Amino acid sequence: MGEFLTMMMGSFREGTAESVSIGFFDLSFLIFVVSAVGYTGYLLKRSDKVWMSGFIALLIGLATMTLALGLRWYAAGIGRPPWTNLYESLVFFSWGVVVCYAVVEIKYHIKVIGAFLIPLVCMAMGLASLTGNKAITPLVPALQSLWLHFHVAGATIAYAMFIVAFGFAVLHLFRDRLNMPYFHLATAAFNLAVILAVTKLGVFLGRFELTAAAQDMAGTLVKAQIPNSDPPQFYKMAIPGMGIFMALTFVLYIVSIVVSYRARNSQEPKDLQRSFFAQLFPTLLLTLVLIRLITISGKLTDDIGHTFTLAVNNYAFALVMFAWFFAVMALVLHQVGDRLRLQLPDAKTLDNLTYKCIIVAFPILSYMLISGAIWASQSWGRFWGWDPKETAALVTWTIYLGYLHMRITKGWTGRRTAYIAVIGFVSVIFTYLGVNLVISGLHSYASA
Amino acid sequence: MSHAKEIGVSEQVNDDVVDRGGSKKAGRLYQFFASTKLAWYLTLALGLIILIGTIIPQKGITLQPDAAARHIAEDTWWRLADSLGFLEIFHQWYFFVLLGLFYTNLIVGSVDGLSRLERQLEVSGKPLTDELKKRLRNRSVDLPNPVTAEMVAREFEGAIKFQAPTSEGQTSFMFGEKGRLSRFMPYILHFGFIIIGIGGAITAMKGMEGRMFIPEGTSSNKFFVQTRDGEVLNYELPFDVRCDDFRIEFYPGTQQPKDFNSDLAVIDNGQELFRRTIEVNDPLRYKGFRLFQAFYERIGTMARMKVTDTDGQVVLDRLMTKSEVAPLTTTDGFTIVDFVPNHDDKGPALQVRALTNGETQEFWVYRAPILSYLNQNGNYHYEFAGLEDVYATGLQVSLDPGVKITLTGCAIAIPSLLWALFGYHHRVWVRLEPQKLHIAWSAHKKLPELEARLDQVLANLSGTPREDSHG
Repeated sequence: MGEFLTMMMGSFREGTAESVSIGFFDLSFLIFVVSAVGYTGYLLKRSDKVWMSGFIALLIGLATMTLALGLRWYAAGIGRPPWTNLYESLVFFSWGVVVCYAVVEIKYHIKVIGAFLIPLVCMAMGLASLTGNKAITPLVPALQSLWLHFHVAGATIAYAMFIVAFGFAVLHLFRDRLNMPYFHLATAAFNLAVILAVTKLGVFLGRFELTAAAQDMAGTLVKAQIPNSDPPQFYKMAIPGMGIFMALTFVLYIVSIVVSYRARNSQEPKDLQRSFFAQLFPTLLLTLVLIRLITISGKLTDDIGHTFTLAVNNYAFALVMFAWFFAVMALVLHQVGDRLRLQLPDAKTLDNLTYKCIIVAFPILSYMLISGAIWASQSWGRFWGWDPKETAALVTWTIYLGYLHMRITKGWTGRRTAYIAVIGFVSVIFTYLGVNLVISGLHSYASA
Repeated sequence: MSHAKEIGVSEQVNDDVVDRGGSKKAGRLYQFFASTKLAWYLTLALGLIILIGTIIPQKGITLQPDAAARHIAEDTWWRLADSLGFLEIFHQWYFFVLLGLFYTNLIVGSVDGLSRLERQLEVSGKPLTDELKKRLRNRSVDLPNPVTAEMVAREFEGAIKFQAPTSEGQTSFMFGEKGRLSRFMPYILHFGFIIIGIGGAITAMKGMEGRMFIPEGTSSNKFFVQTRDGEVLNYELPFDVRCDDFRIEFYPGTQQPKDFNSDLAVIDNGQELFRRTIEVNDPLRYKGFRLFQAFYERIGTMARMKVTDTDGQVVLDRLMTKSEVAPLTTTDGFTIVDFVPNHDDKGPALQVRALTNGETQEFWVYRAPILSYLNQNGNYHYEFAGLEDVYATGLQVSLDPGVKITLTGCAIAIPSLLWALFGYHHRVWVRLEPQKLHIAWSAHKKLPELEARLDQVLANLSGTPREDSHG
């Protein structure tokens, strides 16, 4: 904490528009933490004063963040909007979630949902704060296009709204019928997928490797390539013990899935307790994994004496963080769920809110795909190239297309559509973070 | 009360009028292709294929041909994926078959939906008979005070627009609606989607993507296309392109290019037609081809030579490589024999062999302007204006005949999507008798909003609303 404050004050003291904007981002992170505390407090003690403190902090945080975004844009020049690398993307994404949420809260006066979304925002902001490279990196020529503004802004806002919709969908499921084993089941399955992606299937061999990073001429951290390797190969290093640790977490999550599956639909206290502990153990391990990832500071020396810093891939880190957040959320809900449930708006309202977020986000997502096609056509000479980021976005689009068709023409509502919204969310996370982690395509500008 | 809902006739909830038309005797094939269930399965199957294509590296996109060959040779799983076509899944017959089925389904389903919509809309404007009333949500109220058609229309102002009432004796019939066009928007959206598909198909069949490579100062019409298997095919453009100059700018202190561009000239049938400077994101277009600035290559260093005659006329000013012969007149000319960074302690110099008036001479041409007086030979004054990096511009050649059609489809799809999602169609039928008001309504969306308005209207008109049992 003290370190964070020192860093923040340092940014302000440096005095350039860029560093001041970074200072403001850090400040807004702190304000959002206050807001999250306020909203959580409101859940536990329904006092309007407590809610007001959360809400006002939210608005101040939003204002600070908007100022920071503006400053950064000003510092980078008008042609380079502040959403072109992972740090900026996470910040802009958090901004989008906060704006969407603020609009929903002001319009529909639903106060309790902030307790679920604002911590998510804090996490994304904290993640942004931790990703090493905050500098305004110059753009490669292909990115210097007006379409960049529209395409990436569209993507980020659509994804932010889908996340808000996901929040409502989960709360709807939660409000409609409390079935904790299912929650644990879904969380464990998601976390299994994350472990598979992060270790790149190496978990089966108990292996977890980090790619060495080196600073390039512009001072950006890039993957350290083995000299004269063609196709390019990169320096890698296994973190001792980490692979086994990951494998153990993986096995415990499988156990968790089996236990929760057997306890599904059961209201027996014994079964519920079992599914809780089945979730608890792997989550504890995952916490340790997360701490280890934060504190990693390995060095790697190659045959000719170059030393590299080992850096965790930011996308991997983000995914582990998300996985951890969901697991903790599931555990907390398990404990306070019954009390909390009845404080939520009724299931129908939550269902409608999910729908409203999606019908706004879906045209934006469609527009994002189209603006991407136009840009690709102008820059790469083809409007569609089956690039992984394109196809992943298409999968996401198809899922929400299914949601809308089922809801509008088939009249599906309630749990069934909420499940589609949850699947859509997984797809959004995969499109936003997973693709860049697992596959390198044309969109991998921002990977570090 | 909620008549349509109770009967639950239609599989589609957005049909708001109970369908008594009796469905057309349609063929089995038609029914198969019109079904939404098929649409759902096809979307799932296509989604799965796209997902596989996202996760598994694709030849020619995320997988280099040589890496693919190596993986397939070494690993059973890769071999399995390859034999299932998963490494080029977007070029497999099953993908095309699914796409074909999907579009057939989309077209037939839309035609079917439109015919159903036609039956929904044909009751618009019809007088509210008892028979029609039974097919709609309806209510009847007693009127203690006389009510005119204008009064009813005024009550609905802002929500529903009424047509001129028709009368039959003492009874008048009214009909009003809002947002009729929004009912057509899903079909226009589907139409836009079909157009996008047509554009995509044209590009997939007739389109081409290749690369060409033109050193500065030369022209070429050759480009090459790399297939997914790594084979390189040679093609020719139906015109020549000359690269006059290539410029590159780096971010200060780095090797990261900030901007690069080329001066190109298009030569067709031996005639120079036009010149154009292209840069990244700003291509040259000619005869359906687009040439993009995509990459570049430094191919070496050349000397800039400037030759003037005794009258001070510039005879030659160009970049030259070693041993290249440069004619000055029909009889005179020269070539660069050698370059040394420092000749005779006089700095960089070129050794030139010149043929003037039938006589060959070798001499040194110095870079330093102060030594310029030494560079006179015969009738000519030679100037060595420095060494320049010479690049070849790298162009991406693309023939994309479907792009305009696809973008037209997008331009149709986006507004109709918004209209379909946010528009709604409300209809109200009224039969106004001297003592009684019969009202029926339909909404394919936002029913509660319409019914709230109706409650208010009926309360205003009758004082106390009274429900009549119907249906």
